[in-house]
Amino acid sequence: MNRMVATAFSVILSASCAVAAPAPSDEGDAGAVASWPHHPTIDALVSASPVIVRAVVVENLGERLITGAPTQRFPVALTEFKLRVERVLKGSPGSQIVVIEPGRAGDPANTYKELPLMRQGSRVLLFLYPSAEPALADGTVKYGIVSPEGLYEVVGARVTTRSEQPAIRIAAGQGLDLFERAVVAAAQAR
Amino acid sequence: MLGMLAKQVFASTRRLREDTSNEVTITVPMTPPYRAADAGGTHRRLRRQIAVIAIAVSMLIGFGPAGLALAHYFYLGNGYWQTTELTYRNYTPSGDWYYEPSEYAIAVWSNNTDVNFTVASPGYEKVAFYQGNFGDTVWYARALICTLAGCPTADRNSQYTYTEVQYNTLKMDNMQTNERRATAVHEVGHTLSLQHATDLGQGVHIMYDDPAWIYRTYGIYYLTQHDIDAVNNRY
Repeated sequence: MNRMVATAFSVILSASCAVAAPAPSDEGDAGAVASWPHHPTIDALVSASPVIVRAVVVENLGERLITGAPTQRFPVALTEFKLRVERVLKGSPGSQIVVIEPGRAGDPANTYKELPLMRQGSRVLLFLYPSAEPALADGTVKYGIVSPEGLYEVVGARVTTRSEQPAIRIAAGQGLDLFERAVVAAAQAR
Repeated sequence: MLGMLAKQVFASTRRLREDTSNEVTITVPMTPPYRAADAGGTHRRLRRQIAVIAIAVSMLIGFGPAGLALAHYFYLGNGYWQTTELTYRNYTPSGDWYYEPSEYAIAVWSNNTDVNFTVASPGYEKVAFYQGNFGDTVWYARALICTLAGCPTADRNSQYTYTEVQYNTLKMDNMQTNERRATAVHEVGHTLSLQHATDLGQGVHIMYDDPAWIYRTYGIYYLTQHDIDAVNNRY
């Protein structure tokens, strides 16, 4: 009987302690919770993306802050990256593009678990739309990412993601070749 | 799980009550062997009492309001406002596309939950609404949460102090009114500590992480019972 009570106690205590522990913030290190458009299938993602490329992040061009009103406490940060295009899967971008991404390093108000900032030197697979912002002086066109499903890292021959939201990992873990063939097939079907 | 735990505690408590009752009613003089046996029984009862009290305490600690909520609702950590009387300030231009949806969202939460919002003087609000062309953010609206741990912060396990809702007009100007309303209701849900639901397994509700899509797909731009229960369970 004592053993039963002790066992029950330890089980219940463990369970309740697990629940009592501060719930991990599901937003990772993010200070903001955002509402994102989503493209849960490859077809939807390809359809929403006029431009799809595999590219290498060659340079962080810097960040800027935007406020909607003087009293707004937390400006919105954007960071621009210059990329060298390795392969075009859809559209007609140049060999070099600029991609605008929300957020900036080290700023809790501008960190998103759904869309971590690109890392210089990394290879990425991007689903893009042309930004309304003017091109750089050298003619390099700027693009935005269509949704959190629109950014993947390529590591070796695999497509990966650093996003912490499992729901958006539609391509993560797939072989690069297989995924790119699926994307091209979806693009050609339209 | 909670039901099982409650049953176990109830059963243990009942057994304890019966033991205690026996202890009170036994008046028969005991011979030394019985005393010895009873001494062992007293120890067992004492251990059982300690175990039951420990269980009850651990459950109280573990299953506070937030703990209970984990079974069904999703929260941004364990922190929240320490009051149901909240203030807000709508800094979006009156008559513009974002003013009415923000007011609508405030009214919806005020009228349907235990939380009540009133207008604050500028700078004294707990919830602030802003709009702006924030550029290619990918997201179309967001909420920032300040707690005693930081401002803003991802550590949302302590008391809330200030929250800010921001609409990106670049992404939302082409939305229908009810998409903007759904978004505003959703963002105010964040300011009340509600977390995103990333699947619809528990039914359609406004805290799914793409509220404009929820409206386009399900026609919902108001609170469902799930949203109401989530807030009332916490406050």
